[in-house]
Amino acid sequence: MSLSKFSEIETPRQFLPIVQMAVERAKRRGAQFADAVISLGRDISVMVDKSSIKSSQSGWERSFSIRVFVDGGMGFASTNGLETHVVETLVDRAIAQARIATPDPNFVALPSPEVAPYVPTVFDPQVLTLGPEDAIRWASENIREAKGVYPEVIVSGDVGVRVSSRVMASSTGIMLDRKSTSVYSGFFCIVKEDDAVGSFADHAGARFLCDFVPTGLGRKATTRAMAYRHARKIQTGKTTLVLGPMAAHGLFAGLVHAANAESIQRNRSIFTGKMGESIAPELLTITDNGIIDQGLNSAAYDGEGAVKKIVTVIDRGRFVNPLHNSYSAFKAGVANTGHGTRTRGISHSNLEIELGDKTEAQLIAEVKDGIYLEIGSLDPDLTSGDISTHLDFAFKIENGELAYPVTNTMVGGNLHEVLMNIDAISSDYRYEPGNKMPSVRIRDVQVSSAGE
Amino acid sequence: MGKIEMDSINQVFDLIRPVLERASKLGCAFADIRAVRGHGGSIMVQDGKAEKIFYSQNSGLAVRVLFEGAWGFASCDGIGAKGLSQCLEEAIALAKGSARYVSDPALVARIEPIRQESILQGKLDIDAVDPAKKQAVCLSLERAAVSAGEGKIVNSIVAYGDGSREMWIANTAGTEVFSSLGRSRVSCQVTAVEGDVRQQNYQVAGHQGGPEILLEMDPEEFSVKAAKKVLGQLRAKKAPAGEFTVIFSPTISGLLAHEALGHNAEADAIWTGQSILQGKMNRQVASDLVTIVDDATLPGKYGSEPFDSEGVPTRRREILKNGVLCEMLHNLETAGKFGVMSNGCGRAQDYTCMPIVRMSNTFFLPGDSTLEEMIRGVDRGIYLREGHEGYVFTERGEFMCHASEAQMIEHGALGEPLRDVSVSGLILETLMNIDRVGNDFEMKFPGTCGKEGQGVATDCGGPSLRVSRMVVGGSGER
Repeated sequence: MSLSKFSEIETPRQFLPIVQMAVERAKRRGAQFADAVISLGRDISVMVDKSSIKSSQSGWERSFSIRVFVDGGMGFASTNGLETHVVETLVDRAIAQARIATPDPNFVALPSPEVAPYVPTVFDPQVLTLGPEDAIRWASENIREAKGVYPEVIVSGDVGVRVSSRVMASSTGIMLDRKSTSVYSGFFCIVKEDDAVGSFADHAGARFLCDFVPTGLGRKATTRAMAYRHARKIQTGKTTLVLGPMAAHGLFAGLVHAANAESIQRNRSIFTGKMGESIAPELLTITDNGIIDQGLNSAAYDGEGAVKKIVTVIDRGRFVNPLHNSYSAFKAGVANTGHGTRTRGISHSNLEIELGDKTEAQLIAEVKDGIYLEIGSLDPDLTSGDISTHLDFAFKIENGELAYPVTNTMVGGNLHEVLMNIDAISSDYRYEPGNKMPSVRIRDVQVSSAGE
Repeated sequence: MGKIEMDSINQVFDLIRPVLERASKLGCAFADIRAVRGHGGSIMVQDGKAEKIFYSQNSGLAVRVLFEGAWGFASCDGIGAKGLSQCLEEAIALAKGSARYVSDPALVARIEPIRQESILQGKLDIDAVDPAKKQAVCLSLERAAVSAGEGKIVNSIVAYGDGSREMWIANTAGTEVFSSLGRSRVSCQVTAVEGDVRQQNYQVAGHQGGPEILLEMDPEEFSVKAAKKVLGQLRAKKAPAGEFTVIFSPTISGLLAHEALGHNAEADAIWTGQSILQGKMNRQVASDLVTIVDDATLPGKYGSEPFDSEGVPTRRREILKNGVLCEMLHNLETAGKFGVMSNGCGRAQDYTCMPIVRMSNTFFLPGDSTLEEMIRGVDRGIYLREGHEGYVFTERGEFMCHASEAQMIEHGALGEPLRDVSVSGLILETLMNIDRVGNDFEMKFPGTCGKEGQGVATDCGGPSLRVSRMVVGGSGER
């Protein structure tokens, strides 16, 4: 069994007549604008539990969705049946819903057809040759590696492969089809020694097989889990916080999520009223780049069929550009950045963070007393900026070295202060296809714990 | 249920039976099939406009087989003989391909086969109320919030969603159950600004039932409440950082039951060594004031279901009694491994997912203290209200709960209001440090619990609780 068995997904254009029929029907029924999408997906995955293969799973999905606008009011309907009578019923349903929605003068139009200047590669025919035996082999190898580090390790996780495609048509003349592939794996490892428990997780994902390193995660996660045994509570106080690549990426992804133009226009974002203002030191520049070849979040067009643009969201500390969909761009009278979703939301893509000039090791070495957060999020409230959260996988830094893991320790504050207190970004980084993830150092962060 | 409906139910079982027989003939130790058909809709009202109105319908089926200790699972869209046959073939091939790599063989507990139907819709069918009517109520709730906002509300959203799901479950042990279940949920989110301070409040209500929850909603208890609360948050101070005595109000104590204990009592976590409760059955793990129950049979509660996703009737499970661990949460596999019967906790998000061990409605039982008594004994502490979210690391016994509202306790009395804040603790320490359990009770926390990528409907609740020491993730003056 392999993904290549499912040729339907490889030739999504065969479904173009259905989405075109749906859009035409919507127009005849009174929609001023409409777009329709058929998505197809095929997954194979293997689950690991208690250091053993537990199950092998497969699934395949088809879905149809139609979005219609009557006087700016939106109706949306979806189904996983592609039969003509089902599609027709759904179109009529969406029209009826749009008619009862409140007319919205801020809605101007759906995107018009555009030719993307660059189409990133996101489909790897090599992935189609994969089957469950490959996933089992990779999972088994990670378990074996983990046991090589600590024989009694408890490993759980999964390995999976996916192929998907979609076809889209709109009343403005858009006709698009897209195929993509992905491979992923993630493992969580636990080591126990008497009452001391350590755990750690790591993951890998790629669109192309050549970018995917299927093994090594079990070994790394077990090695780190061993380091996390014997965690201690620490003292409450202000300290320096170094966020490792995964933790820093969470913070920056949250920031870019808050740069959603709809949230800003609706006054519920921390970035409302901040356009052009300095929100962080000059060393912080964040760019959303959705057209990187083989990027995990890459695509030539967004969910509305608009061309994805490269957007610098934070430029040398200043908030300079929000991310738009067609609705928010028309409302603001600016160009659409191509970050729209099917449900009229806005989402970011791959993130590139401008690098600093010192390695993560050097950033840590300069800290006399601090904390290194390896996995976890500062999880700021993206409306108020308030931060109050747990430090999930963190180490105490003493005299420039990782000293011991911490437990039952929290962080509090506000995102505005935290951003202004960033004093370094590392020159080295973790790379997850499309995403450049350096570490970041923040001064004077309030930490709470229950140590003596 | 009329005859036509019964015929329709039997038609699906007629499709399923021969596939299960074939699974047995092909050497499967066990197999089960779920067929699911659902539909639902949602309405989002924002800033005075009904902006987005959604409808969805779908159907699909899942075949799961157990072959030589390995699970094989396949799902597809639609309900039909061809899909069933393909899924069976694929599930068996997947299980056979995995079997020789399995070092912890799966098995299932003894099953007492049942044939039952259960219809649990609300007072009103979700299709019986016109979307325009639902929309009008959402608009009036949203307007009420804005009216109560003293001109400081800058964004307001009321969202309503409902769904109905029909599910057929049958297995090779002879179980055939059918359920028809409705759920609905309404939420209100308001954002207010005063000077440089921007705050948000969120209220939610949900039940296992129909749109009556929306039509009967009292704005004063819902959207007006959200507006008043967000105005209070604008004036609230930051919580202090450090370790304090913490009192959980009934609006958040359920989150403690769910995160601090419930996930650790899931038998898959215990079997695999991922729970701090491993090896602690019949041992004291909490203060003797603490009794925690998970009950999927409570009428109308968001996490209630007549059967789990393995066709086992649900029931009340007394996890902790007076602090002693009495019962784990089981699905068929964990029950088999522990040598007991399943207590109906095998739940799947939808037909594309395998059932795993899950909670339903989880809560502390009330005690005999009054809130006043609890507060009176605290020199300096934090009173938490309005649970928002939480999570747990079961293997090392650490958890976090986030409250969207809090208040200082000083010298035995409630003091100034505090902004939203999180608390964290080590589970066994925290449960032992519960030194007062209130005589009040509330369970109104409908939500979606995530585990292994699957979300299922849950609720949680409890009385007021006092924990003598917890870490507070604050940032204000100590």
